[in-house]
Amino acid sequence: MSNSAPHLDYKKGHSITLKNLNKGLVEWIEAMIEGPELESAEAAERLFPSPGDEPNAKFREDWQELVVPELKHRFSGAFEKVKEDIRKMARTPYGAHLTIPVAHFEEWMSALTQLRLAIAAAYQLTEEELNRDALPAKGSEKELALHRMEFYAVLLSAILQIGELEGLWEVGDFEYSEDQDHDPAP
Amino acid sequence: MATQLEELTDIEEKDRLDDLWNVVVHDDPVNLMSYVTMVFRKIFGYPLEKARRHMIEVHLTGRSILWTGQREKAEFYVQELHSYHLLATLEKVPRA
Repeated sequence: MSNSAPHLDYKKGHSITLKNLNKGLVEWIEAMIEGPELESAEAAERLFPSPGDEPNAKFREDWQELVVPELKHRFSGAFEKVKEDIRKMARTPYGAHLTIPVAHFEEWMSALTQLRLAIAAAYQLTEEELNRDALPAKGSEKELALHRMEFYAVLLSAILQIGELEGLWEVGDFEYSEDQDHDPAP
Repeated sequence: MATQLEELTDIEEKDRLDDLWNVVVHDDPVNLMSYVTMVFRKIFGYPLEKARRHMIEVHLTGRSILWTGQREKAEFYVQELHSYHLLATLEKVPRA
């Protein structure tokens, strides 16, 4: 049996550790620090969307002047905590172990979501590509971007589920399929 | 004359305050369903089932009205939803 495959260790009330990340996965974690996609105009458009078709010009100006800087401050604050954890990664000959304290879960969730949205926007990934109904050309930049997004999604899901175990929030044990019956929202 | 103007302003102010606004969340293909459900619970305090119903409505129809009420609170909710990276807008409720 192997104990060297990537896996997740959970210390209740303390942290999760992604153990034995290989060099490729470490590269994707480190790419979170750089996050060049976050600088694109497409990402900015998605991360700071319009609050609606508001005819009141004063409201639109106020939103840009007051709300958007506040959001930018919150978003970059989340990345600071994430970068701190990434810099503390324990290196191994084959890659690294990454520990994420429970106290930083909110920040990781924000950073991972920002990055996923920014990557999708920067590479113009279509809904079909994101849902795997159509895949980008093999070996293309788009395909690599999609793999990266999926890795971040796995990490985000783990944080969501363990956050629930920690009592931080509730998402429930939930699998959705297009075929299942549903009640419309009230 | 000044009194009439003040009265008129007061009526307009009352009308403005009586206007209701919807907080609408729009679909995006990136955010995870479990994440969206968690955000609805966190921001609006909805029970899990209600939060899920709204999430599924967003997914299936492209949008869901999460809350309706006074403008100021609606703006606050939209800002909060944006802080969790959801696509949310304010929409005035059409007068009957």
